[in-house]
Amino acid sequence: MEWISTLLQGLLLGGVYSLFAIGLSLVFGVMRLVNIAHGDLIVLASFTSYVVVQALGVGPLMSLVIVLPTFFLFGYLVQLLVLNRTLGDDMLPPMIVTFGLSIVIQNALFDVFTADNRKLNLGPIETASFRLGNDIAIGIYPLAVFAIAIATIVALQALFYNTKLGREFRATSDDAEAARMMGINTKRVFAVATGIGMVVIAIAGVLMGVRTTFDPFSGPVRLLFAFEAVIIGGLGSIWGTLFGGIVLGLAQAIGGQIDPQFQIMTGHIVFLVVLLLRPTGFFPKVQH
Amino acid sequence: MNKIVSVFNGTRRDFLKGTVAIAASALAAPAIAQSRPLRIGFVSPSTGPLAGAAAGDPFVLENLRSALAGGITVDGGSKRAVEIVVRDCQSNANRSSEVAADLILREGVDIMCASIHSLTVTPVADQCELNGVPLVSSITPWETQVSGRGATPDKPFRYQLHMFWGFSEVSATYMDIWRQLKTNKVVGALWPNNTDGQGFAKGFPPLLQEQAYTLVDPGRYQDLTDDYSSIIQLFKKSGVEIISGNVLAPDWTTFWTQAAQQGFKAKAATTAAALAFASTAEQLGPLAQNHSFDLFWHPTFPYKSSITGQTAADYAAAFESSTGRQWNQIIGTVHATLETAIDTLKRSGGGDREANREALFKTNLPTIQGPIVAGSGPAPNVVITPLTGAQWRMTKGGKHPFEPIIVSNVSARDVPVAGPAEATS
Repeated sequence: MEWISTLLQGLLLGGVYSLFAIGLSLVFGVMRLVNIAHGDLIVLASFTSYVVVQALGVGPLMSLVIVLPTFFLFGYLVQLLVLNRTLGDDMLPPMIVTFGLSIVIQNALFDVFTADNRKLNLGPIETASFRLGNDIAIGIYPLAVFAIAIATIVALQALFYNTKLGREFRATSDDAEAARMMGINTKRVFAVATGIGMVVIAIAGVLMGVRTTFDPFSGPVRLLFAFEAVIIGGLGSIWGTLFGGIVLGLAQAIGGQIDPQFQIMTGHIVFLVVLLLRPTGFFPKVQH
Repeated sequence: MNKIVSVFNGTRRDFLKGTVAIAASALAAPAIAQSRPLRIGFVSPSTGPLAGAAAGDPFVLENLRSALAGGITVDGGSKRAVEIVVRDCQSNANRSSEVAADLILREGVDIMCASIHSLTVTPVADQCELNGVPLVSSITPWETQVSGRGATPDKPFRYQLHMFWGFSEVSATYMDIWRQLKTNKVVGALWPNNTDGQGFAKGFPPLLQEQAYTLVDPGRYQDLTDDYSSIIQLFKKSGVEIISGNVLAPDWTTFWTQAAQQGFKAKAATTAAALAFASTAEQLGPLAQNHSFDLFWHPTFPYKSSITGQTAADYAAAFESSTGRQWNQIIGTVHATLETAIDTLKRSGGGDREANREALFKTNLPTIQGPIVAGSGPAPNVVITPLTGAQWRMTKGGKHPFEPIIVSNVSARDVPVAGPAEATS
């Protein structure tokens, strides 16, 4: 029973990690951009939601109505005005720009919000749970996060395979040069893709802000788990990201059950083993 | 990053006026114009993960700067100006070492102050010992500064005077809180895999055993773990009624929320670090109610500053009116380290570092933190300062959403207790 409970918690944790990872995977999949600022953007979203909550007195979920469009626009503009200028054959310049962005975000947040811990409050639902039998309890909130992760993936999948925009994304991802020759404005495609990536980041940020406290320097550790989930799942694959997140969550849960000391390390070890045996991850969509 | 908080840092016009004034008084009191200002090095984590703890520094320094504006009268009757040279260690041990060396070698400080976490204090203490500069340090358990840095009874550190409490004070305080709650004496430990967590894991178990507590220690978990279900299961299975740990705020939030989801309740939740500040308790809301912790300074401490004459209550009120933020326990302690340094300079005459060292180890000073009497502690270079146990309570329509209520004074007999401890759930 103990093990079942542990595995269930690991599975739900996997949902959290996938949600952190989807935005990263999306942006990499479409334009081969490794976004080092990913974790800091998640934290920026948490803070943005915090500001909206404080200013308007609404709940964190309602704040999404403002945070999501804001982040879409933010992503669109950052891509159009900054990142597009650095994209080319070399992956390094855009990566370095996002590295700079990461430092800028951390210090700007620190300047405005100080190093205090913040949290988004959802009320009693945060600690609510339902029981399966005697020994297993499932938190409502972790379950909701897991469901949102899957819903996000389904929505992105639908966007990619059932819309004109999705075709443009896929065409650009496969061969940007050829897509341009077919009349696709790849710069705009990139901007929209980053915008959508930012929307997913904003969802992750708000959900993380409810889950635990955050401060301006909470970003990098989120980036690490997101990276691992993306690489385990396979670069550029959205469903793979869910798989990667779950593998990471389960690995941690199993390691933690053996000894709490091994919890996080087991996740890292599984990641390294996957990297050794399947450098492209389990479901790679893009070759590089 | 590097700020020099000087007594002469007004505008250019002030400076000119000052120069004129000094010139005019030069005949009457030649000392201040001729002697160089005494310099105190001050290392603190203004940025990085520990920055929250150092957020009160600007107030502490500003407050002292205005009190010291006229300089200090050193032994022998001459007036000397005092400068506090501030360096940010960025919450990083390497950086702490670097800025300490810089303060000693380049800025030529006469005495050093360092506080907040062993990450800040240990490297600074090492540099001070190496270069023969006296140091007043605080806000890390004294063991981290003695055995933690390899001192032995025959080879104590010569330059550092550390003023804080240690494991015996904190454990006595914790157990006094738990005693009030009528528990089954089963303690679940949350000690992470970092220097503080390992320190607790080594120092705490024997003390718990002495008092017939049963310890359930799942092992050293990593900071910023996202899932605590296996630890919660173990606690549940072992009938834990008391949680004690040295936990980061996000980890505590994750743990405590998950514990509630899993139907695990404890009568006492007592941690160091996680909820040391009201701002964090506020963010957690009801989850923070009756959370207990170690509180080493509070406005009801019956002490006052030897420099500004402010009582603890005055000082906290001044902090609140100047910053618009709720007082925190760090400011009183940091103020007291600077008090001790300044008192040392007064008595040594500011002559040289060796004279300062001798004066430092003869300190007998009532500070806002309590009496600092060199040689009174468990190690030659340690002074034990008062420690209380407190619980966060939500106030009803008070000035602040949460106030710490002192529930234990076994390690701070002068400080009044505000009420009995209450169970968390």
